Amino acid sequence: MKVSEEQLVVELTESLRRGRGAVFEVTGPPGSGRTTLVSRIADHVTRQGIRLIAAPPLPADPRAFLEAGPLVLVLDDAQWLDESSVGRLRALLRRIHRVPVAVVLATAGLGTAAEDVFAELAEDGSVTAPPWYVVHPHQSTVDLVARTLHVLSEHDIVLLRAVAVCGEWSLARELADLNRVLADEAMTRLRDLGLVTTDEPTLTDGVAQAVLAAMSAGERNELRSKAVALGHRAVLGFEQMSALLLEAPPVGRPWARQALQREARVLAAAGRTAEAARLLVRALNEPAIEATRAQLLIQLSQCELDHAPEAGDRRLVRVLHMTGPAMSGPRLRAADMLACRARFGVARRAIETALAHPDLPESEQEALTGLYWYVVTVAGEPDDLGVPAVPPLPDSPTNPVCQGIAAWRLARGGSGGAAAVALATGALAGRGPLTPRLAAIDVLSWAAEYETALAGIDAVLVDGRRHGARVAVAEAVLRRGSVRVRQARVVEAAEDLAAVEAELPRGCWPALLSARHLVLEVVLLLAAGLVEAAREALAREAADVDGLAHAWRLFAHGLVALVTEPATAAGIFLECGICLRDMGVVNPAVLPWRLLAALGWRAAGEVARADALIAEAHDLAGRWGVPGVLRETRQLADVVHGMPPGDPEAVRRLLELPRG
Amino acid sequence: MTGLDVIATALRLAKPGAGSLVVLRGPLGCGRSKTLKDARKLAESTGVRVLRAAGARQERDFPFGVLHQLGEELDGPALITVDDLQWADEESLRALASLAERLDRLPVVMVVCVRDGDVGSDSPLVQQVVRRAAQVVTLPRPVLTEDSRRKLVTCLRAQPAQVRSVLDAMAVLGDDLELIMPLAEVDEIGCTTALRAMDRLGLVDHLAPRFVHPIVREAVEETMTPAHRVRLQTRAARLLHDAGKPVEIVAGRLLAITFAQGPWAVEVLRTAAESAMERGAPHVAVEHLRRALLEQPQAGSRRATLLAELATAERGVDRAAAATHLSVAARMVTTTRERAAIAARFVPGALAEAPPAVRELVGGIEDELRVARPHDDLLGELALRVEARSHHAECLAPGRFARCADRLGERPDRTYPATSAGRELMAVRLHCATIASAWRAGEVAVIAERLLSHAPARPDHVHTPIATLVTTLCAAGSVDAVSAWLLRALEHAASTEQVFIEAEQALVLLHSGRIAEARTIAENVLATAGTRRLASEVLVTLASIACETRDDNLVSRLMRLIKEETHHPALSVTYQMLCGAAGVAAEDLPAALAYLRDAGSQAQELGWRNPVLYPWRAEAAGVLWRMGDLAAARELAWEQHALAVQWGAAAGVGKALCHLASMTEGTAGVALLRQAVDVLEGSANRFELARAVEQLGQRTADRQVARAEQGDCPLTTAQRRAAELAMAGRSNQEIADVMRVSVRVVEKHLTNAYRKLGVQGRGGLSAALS
Repeated sequence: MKVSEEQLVVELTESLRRGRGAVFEVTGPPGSGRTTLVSRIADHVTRQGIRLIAAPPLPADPRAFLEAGPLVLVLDDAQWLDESSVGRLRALLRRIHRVPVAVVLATAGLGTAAEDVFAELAEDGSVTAPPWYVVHPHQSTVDLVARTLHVLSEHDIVLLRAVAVCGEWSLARELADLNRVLADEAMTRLRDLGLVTTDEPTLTDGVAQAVLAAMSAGERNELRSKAVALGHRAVLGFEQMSALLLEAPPVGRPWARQALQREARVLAAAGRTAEAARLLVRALNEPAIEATRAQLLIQLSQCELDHAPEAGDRRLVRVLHMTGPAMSGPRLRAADMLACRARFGVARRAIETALAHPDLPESEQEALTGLYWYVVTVAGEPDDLGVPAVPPLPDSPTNPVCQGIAAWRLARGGSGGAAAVALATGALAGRGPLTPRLAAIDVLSWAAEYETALAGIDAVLVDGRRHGARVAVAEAVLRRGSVRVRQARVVEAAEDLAAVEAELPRGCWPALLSARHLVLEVVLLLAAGLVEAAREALAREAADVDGLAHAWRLFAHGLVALVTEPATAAGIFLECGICLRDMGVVNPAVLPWRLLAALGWRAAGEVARADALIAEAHDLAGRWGVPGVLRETRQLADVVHGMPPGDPEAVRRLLELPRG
Repeated sequence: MTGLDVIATALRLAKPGAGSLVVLRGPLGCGRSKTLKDARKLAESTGVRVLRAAGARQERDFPFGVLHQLGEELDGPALITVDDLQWADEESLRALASLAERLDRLPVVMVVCVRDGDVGSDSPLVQQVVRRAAQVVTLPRPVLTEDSRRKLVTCLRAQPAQVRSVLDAMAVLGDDLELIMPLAEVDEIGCTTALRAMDRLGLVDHLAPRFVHPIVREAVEETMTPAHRVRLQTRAARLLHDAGKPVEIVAGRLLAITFAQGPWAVEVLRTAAESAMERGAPHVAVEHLRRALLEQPQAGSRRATLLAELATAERGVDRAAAATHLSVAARMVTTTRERAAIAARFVPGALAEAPPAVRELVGGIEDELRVARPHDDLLGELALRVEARSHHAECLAPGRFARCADRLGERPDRTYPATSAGRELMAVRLHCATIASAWRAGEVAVIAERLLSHAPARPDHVHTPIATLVTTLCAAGSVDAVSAWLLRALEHAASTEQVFIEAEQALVLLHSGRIAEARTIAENVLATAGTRRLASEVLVTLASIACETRDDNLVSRLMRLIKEETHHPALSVTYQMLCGAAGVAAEDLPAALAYLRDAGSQAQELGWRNPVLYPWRAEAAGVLWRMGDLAAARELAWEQHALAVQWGAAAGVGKALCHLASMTEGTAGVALLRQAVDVLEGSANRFELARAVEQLGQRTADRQVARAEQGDCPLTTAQRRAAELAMAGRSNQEIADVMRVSVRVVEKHLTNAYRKLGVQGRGGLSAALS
């Protein structure tokens, strides 16, 4: 297998790490830099702290190396190996397949004794041949081109450079500005020199690099700019245009940015977000008005969610720091996305900065204020200590953002059920920022208004997909799953659960999303009687979370513990309750930890403690004042009451029914 | 073969007329010139004429410059050496190439040197010469040392602009090398080419990429002008930021740049400070925020925000600075709400320690809030928080007793607060009422426990009024809940908060009668604090442990710490108490009495009447008793008792009764002791109970009586006494001291007690005896 010098180093380290042997043959004519390459490899190997043995001569019994690994054996001028050395080499190569010994051979080309050994090995079925890599000193292509360029005619060079920049033939001819006859002649010469492949006219390996390397930076840029302009005139596809633009200096025309953005969208949709991000970073070099740059930054931040989430956050912060005209929409979207990503400190500060802008339109100011109160509340910070001071939410808000957040804050506190439902419904009537709508959906599901909640979720999914708001979409799918669990639609809920991961890779999940997903997963697994699987799901989850995510995690742990150790489970649920209360969540409909802790106590025979919790749950459900929740609480309380005290088995039977 | 060997062979072969070209090539400093010198010596020693020339970068434009150096015509055997061929002029290169062509027919050896990777080493003309070589000797990469620096700098200065910008970028970026290209403003091809060239020159490992030796980086830095370096550092910080590098790395780079960078930098520094706080590194956070303040030099709300954040970072490490920064910030903002939000961030203890001007500022904000009524929800909350701080400060300040008592009223409030701000104020009111002994311990304990159950057990409670609950609950003798709560708070505590929480735990242990453990923690706190200043509330706590345990060492160490800080009223009282304890230890009873009376009169003046927190009367009574002034001793002991009864905490009353009993002879004394045992049965302080029972046993010297007191306990009096003391956390040695027997006897008593009670060890005692 032919590899480059860089690959060689990677493969060598990798095979030693895996405890496997490998052979690397560095081959090329005299003066092509074999020895330099070998010594470079040797340098690299020793710097990595791997043992290096430079031979020949090979020791009488090279098998001694087999126990000494990992090591690298370097044989320069292997073509001059004598008969006995070849024998020793053969003995060694037959055995290194399973030991960390890499052999680097430098040979002068065809017909070496070492190659014969390898051919023998390959044919001998009784041993496994180690992987065999062939490396040509990198210098050779560069040298070849450097030498060849010196003798090429001007036309040939022009064409060669054009092909190197465009990567393809027809545009290159245009770029070289040669007539067909001259171009064909030049092409034939290049082909004869081996610089261009014969079948399909592209440059042979490394030639493009070498040709470009022989140009000055200014020449390269000039040629690339020309190629881009030409490509635009020839209406190249977005993919090709983007490839040309990526390396080219700024064009200064809107079409360049648009081409990059379009191609980035295509790549991102195919899941190739890192490549998309590269194009968008390039697009940022094109001049544009602030609002356009803001759009670009938002798109970029969505692409960076997978591989550089911090960078993505910072793009959004930058949008919120912008003060140009027509920035209202982008700023609000950036704030919305930051809030949804659960980067609370960053979001709060960025929103504070945006709110300090003196000429903010009133609607934007209200909406940003709403989002501000969302992040402050969800982070569990005290309302009143903020400096600079942000105005409080109005008592009866009309802005949909404020309505959603106000409803959610009311609902967390566990009172004013009817008012909260009205506000949440109002919030879902708008098509604005997604975070407040998700909050409103939570309110509705805590108020047992499942159908309204589901309709809201569908709308959020549509808008979220349109804006590429990936976290919001995942959150919406998760909420659909939990609403369906509450409706006892277990199969559909399981589908949603799986869909969350399809919408957003696990690595990008905010802690709370992750914890809520875990609860849903555990509930569904337990409903299916798969206790072991539920336990495994718990073990998978990261443990170092705090705030609300910790409460949800505890709840999941409590559920699993309930099956076997009801008293422990009750303890965990109480801890979950303390954690929720510390974060300001009192509403009994958010998580039924009180009733489940009661279940645990009852199963453990602690009837009085169970009854106290049931009574508390009743009181709080009454305070929340939503009939549906009160009814559900009564039903579950009846189930707990109906359970024989001190009987853990009864809990198991109960859990296997879907919770209503 | 070495380079010299190759040349020697070539010279030998050249004698009959078959000359050749030898190329010596390799990276910077590989020893080409030295080999050449040796070769010349060798040639001269064998009578071969030597012609020499060398390329020079500045002379590349002089036609035939190198050739002219060789001078004379060739006739007869000769060695021609050309150093630095890569810098030879074009004409000379062509001539040398054509000469090389003819060498095999001449008795001439030509040796040329090429410095790989340097400018010109890849030029086609140089390559043309090299290709005609019979031998190419590649010299190995040398080991770079400090001595190579000069040579390196010269070589680097001569590199083309593109190479230099790549090297500069590498030097500035350090470990984050994927950003070389944007920082150097070089395209990928240019960057790779430059790196390869530098690799061949022996300066860079282009695969990593990195400098082969720190000296190269230093040399690169030497070639940069300071202005250029700062420009690059600034751009590097921005690039690292945009590439999503961890915020603390970017912030670390910003620290090195001392001029303003704009809003993005402020955001980075604040985020970095936040994450430093989260991982428990407040010093780092402070550093970042100080740098952020550099970005916002004008007074205004933005600077105030940063100052407030700085104060939050500082409050665990330098409370005085935190208080100062908050007061500066409060003067910078324009709205009442912002002023209040800043005032609400004061750490109560720090406010009490702060200069009067700071307290007046907070008092002023409190008044401003009072005038600004009616409040919306947020302002209402803030008003409560500010009131809590101001009230707390007043309660600890001299001359404010009347106002503080006014605020408190006769009885605790009837309504229980619904918000965290309200609970903060309530905690302070309870604390003040406790210090002044204005309300009853029972009532205080009930409310304090409820407050505690609503407070998240977070480590940062130590910076809020919630921390006062610990002292309040200890004074009221209700310690069970707070002990568990503190354990939870300690779980996530950073080292700065750990000191406070441990001191709180020690106080709880002291009031649970687990005196030995309390003392151990106190010693730990002192040891870990080292030379750092401890907060006043921590010092007060440690001092109370020192006095109670009569640990001379602890007393004297604390006296040294507190001596300089007696301007703070609480520390002043504490200092007098410690001096009293030291006097007693030194048997200097009159001095001890004077100190204790001073402490008492100061406390009295401040309105601090709580007999549990300020037991100077009991101490003074003890001293008087020993001095023989029995009447005065009894009087003080009765006063202490009366106050304890008024406060109503069982431990305090029981202790006062015991003390009185020790001064009262006969059945009256025994009756007092019986009463003490009765009272202490209801207290959490098991040690006081044990001591009372022990005294009762001694006084009656009647097993029957003692046994009757202890119900149907199977233990002898001595065993019972030892067991009670063991339960109270006393070590065997301590029990031996109290019972005036040897340690071995104590061990025997305890072993018998375990056997009779059927328990394994100390752990089982409390269950078996309760």
